[in-house]
Amino acid sequence: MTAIEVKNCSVSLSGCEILRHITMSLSRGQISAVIGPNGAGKSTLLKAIVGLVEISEGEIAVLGHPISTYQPELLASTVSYLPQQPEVHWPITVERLVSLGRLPHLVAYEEISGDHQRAVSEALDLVDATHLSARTVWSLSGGERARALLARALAVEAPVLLVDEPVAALDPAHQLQVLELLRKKANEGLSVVIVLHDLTLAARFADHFVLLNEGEIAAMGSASEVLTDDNLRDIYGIEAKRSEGAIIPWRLNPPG
Amino acid sequence: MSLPARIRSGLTGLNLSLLILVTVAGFLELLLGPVDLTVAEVLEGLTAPAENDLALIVREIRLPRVLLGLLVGAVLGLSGAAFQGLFKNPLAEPGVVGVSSCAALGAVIAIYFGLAGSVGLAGLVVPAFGMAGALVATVILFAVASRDASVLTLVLVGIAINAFAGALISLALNLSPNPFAMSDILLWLLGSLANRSMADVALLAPFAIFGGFLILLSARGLEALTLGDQVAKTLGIDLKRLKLFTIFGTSLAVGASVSITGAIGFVGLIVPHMIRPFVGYSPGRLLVPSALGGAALVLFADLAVRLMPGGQQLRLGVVTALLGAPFFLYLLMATRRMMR
Repeated sequence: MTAIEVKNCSVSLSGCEILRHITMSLSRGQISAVIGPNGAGKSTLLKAIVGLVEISEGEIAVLGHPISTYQPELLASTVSYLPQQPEVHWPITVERLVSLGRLPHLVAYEEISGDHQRAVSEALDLVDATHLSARTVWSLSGGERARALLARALAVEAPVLLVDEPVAALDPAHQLQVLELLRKKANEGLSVVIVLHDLTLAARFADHFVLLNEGEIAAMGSASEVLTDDNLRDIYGIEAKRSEGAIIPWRLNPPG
Repeated sequence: MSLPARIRSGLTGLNLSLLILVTVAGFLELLLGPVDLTVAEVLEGLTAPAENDLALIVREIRLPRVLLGLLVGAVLGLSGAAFQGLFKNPLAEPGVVGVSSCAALGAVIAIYFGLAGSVGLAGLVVPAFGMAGALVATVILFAVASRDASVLTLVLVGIAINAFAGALISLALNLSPNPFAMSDILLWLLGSLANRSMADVALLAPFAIFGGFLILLSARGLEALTLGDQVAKTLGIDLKRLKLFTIFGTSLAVGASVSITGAIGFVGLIVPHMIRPFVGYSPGRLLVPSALGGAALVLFADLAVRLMPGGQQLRLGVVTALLGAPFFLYLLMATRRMMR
């Protein structure tokens, strides 16, 4: 069963074509890594799936239904999104931040209690941030902040999770912790789409790869199909070393 | 008790304390003045036939003042909190960003061109122009400052709007046909609850209540805006509706308030700032306590103005500006430091 189906989708932003004729199908309960060089259109693809940017042609369906047919609240409780540079405009506590993830499930002025409270506590626990719950978000270190924000996205308890570079600010231990957590959630049925620059981590944790280049899909499939030496050379312009399945970017390799 | 339960009971306690504060201020306004009344006399004045002296003092002079203070204070506190949530900026306040002065400009235009009347629908002309002025300012502000939420942009746009509205008001005063019209406009511009009648209350109430209602409907959206526009949208918030309700609600409420009492500045800046720590900096939960706090502040400030020796001549708007301007400077410095 597919989680996300993108058919011949193009996106233009201020007259510039960012994505061209994207067609892909992502399965449920898998981690799909969207990879590619800077400016390839990875973040825009995520935004298109969650309805933040208009698509100029094509169709995007989530769990079998076109996103245009979703009520906003239903889409919000089906797809959770964590942007690359999340904003937090007031010095709210971590607990309050995470509980904002319950908004799609709450009616106006309803307070967090019962099942909502359970979801918030679980999300905090998953990212190892329970001890931070009373701290204000502005007082956190980069890594703590990134985990608290991920907990906010997890607290939605949506069946589909889109995360844009969630581990860039984390130390290696917390990178592994977050990705292992996503792995575990995927095994439990969560469909994860993750933008990653770290090819080693991508190769280690993702089931499925979408390699974007200049707004088009350059390759798609398993690690062995996508993370080939040819693709790394032609698209990233690098040469990588391989060791027991890990890919280590080693030196620049000018194409041609 | 879990954290949310503590906040919930704390919030109820906060609202209750503020409500008591408002009630006390309102009663003191009824009791104290050039003629001090007892509680029994106030009650008698509220119920006595119209020709009674007590009835005149309580019902015709003091009660409208209390009700106007209540409405205007609540509108200013609530609008300040809503603007700050919408612009994600603690300095956004209808006065600071020029919405109040554009409302005043609208009202001045109506008065200057002799469109103001007091009978029937003609009485609505000045508030209507005030609301239109407020709406124009809010839309301009939003168009310029919504993309870039930086403190500096917002304050600079506010300066520009304030300067422009101020210049046009000065022009109206400059070309004013007679000194009486000029002093009328000038005194009214300073902001005061004095010499207003129940008719003024009746004029303001529907706009204040409807505007306030629209703002309160935005609570959930303002809450989500804490995480920025994009994430708010992915949380199911209809941003267009949120912005429309907040902008339209504040324009109605502030426009009508300013056209009846003149500009009473800085209430929307001071009150939400003081209450914010008590509601855990949550923009949605800030709304109701800010309305109550605004009402309490305006009523107490008005009481101080009335009881001060020689204070009868003092205008409420001048007092709030004297208190508010240094506070604004402090807040500006603190915010710049925090956001750096």
